Amino acid sequence: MKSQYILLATIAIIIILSFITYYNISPIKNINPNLIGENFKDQIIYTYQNFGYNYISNYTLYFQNYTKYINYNFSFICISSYNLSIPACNGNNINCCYYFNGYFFVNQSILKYCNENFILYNPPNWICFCYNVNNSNSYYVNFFCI
Amino acid sequence: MRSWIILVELAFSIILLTFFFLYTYYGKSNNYNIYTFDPNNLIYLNSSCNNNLYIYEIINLTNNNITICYFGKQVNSTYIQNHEPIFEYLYAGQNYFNPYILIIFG
Repeated sequence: MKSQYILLATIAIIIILSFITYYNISPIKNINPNLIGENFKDQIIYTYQNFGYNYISNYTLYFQNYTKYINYNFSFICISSYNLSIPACNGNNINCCYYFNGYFFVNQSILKYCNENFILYNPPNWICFCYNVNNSNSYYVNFFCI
Repeated sequence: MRSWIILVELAFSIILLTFFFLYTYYGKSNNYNIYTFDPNNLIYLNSSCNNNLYIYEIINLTNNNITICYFGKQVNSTYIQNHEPIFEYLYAGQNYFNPYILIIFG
């Protein structure tokens, strides 16, 4: 009789666990970080080409809120010859931009996530992003210039 | 004798339920984004529900309007309760800057 109670209790626990997982696994939490990263890159390029550079900071803001909402950490460093209205980088802050006139030496310590070392020589229009998307399981890092 | 039969039945149902649990736990989390959609092909999906191939939800971030389209028909959220999201993307806008989230359900 005692073992039957144990079995009944086990069944009850499994049923409860099943329901909890059935309703709690939010598939939104399982998006591949690569897809989120590519989403950012493609839409920044799309925004620049179709709506102009002054919409880029607006998009990054929406993107930051979106990634927070789906439980991902997202951060970026950008380098630009335009003023994109993203806060300028100083010290160790993230989600910021380096604005420059003339030439700009980019080294790894500036970009934090990306292993890039190069010099931008007084280009007319440079917008580069180094960004990082991660959750507890995986991460995605990428660098691109428009 | 009778108690033995009950025990065997209970053990059998525990095995079944365990499989159900494992299926819901692993099956659901792995299915997401198995489908490879090309975001460029889905940019034409908009809140006017003029596409009858997909079940999708559009969350307009400028005015927080949510539109759910069920094979070309605008419906409320009860229609998609049994459907799983299989693709999600944050678009910057179509003809003008108007960020929205597109979620496609399978």
